[in-house]
Amino acid sequence: MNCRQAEKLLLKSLDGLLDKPKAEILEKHLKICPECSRIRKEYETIVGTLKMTACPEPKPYFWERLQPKLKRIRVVNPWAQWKLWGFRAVPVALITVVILAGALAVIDLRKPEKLSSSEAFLLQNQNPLEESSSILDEEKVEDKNMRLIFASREESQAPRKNFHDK
Amino acid sequence: MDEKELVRRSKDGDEEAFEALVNAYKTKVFNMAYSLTRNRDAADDLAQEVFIKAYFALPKFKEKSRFGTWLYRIAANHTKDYLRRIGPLKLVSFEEITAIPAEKDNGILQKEKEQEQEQKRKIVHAALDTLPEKYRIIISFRDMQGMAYAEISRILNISPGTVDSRLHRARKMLRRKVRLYAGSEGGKS
Repeated sequence: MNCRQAEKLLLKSLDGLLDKPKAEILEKHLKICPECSRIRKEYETIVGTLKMTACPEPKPYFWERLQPKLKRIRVVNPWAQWKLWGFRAVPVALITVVILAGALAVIDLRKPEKLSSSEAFLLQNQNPLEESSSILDEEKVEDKNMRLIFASREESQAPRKNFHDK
Repeated sequence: MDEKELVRRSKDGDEEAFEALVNAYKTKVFNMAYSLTRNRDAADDLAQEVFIKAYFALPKFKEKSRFGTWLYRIAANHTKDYLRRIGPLKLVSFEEITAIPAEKDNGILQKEKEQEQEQKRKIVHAALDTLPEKYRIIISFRDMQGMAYAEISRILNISPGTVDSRLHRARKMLRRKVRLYAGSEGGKS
């Protein structure tokens, strides 16, 4: 192993990332190389000094100083407040619109068309003989025939009557 | 209450939950800013600004990473912006480093050791200040804050391999600079 390779291993060893066989090779090299031993000492001193560097604490009343700033920015910057609100309001509004559109597509709000008499008979399962049932129930055949004749005449004259009324 | 719950409540505008998050992370955020600026006032202001930024960016936080990682990323970027804004750090002169406060009655061994340690610290930090920003940051994260490779990789958005190589390069550069300072110290004394 040369000194360049040894330095690479040295740097890894500082973080404890060196496996046992490599660590042994490095130790062997360090025993016979005073220059690399000195470099190791320097690295250890530097890293040790950095680790021991005491960081001061943040100034007291950190939250008490921060809180009014947050409030002030919220007041001064309504856009930021809107963004905060809008991030939730916009998707909610979009989802509502989509749901409403879907509901409108499914539910037919048009008024039902007036059905013709034959459609009504077919679709609404009506009895076509219901109106004439009183006539057909007549016991006497003559009466029955007479009423049928009058009913058919009334029906055929009805539009003409209406036309004349107008 | 766990951190995820605090984050969720803070997103809903719960100030007490956000206060709990601030109290949990203020020291770490401050330390990160301090290790890069080494100015207590600036670090305190930066830490406050980081929490203000985080508060207003919370709705955008997707919780794919830990809140701490997300917050440190904001802190790292904000501190980098600050460092770029103020320009290069004021370098400590050799005279400043070697100036040991004169103590008439310092026959005590402990006192001497403390002074020696303080001098070492000054030399190492003076050398650290001369490194490019990206190397200073990685040394600060790893050697001063004791962060794991994986965490640094997530905060700086670089691969763990890059963390490894950048850290090694940074330490090599730092050692060279320290030798320069220490060498000139030796020459003078």
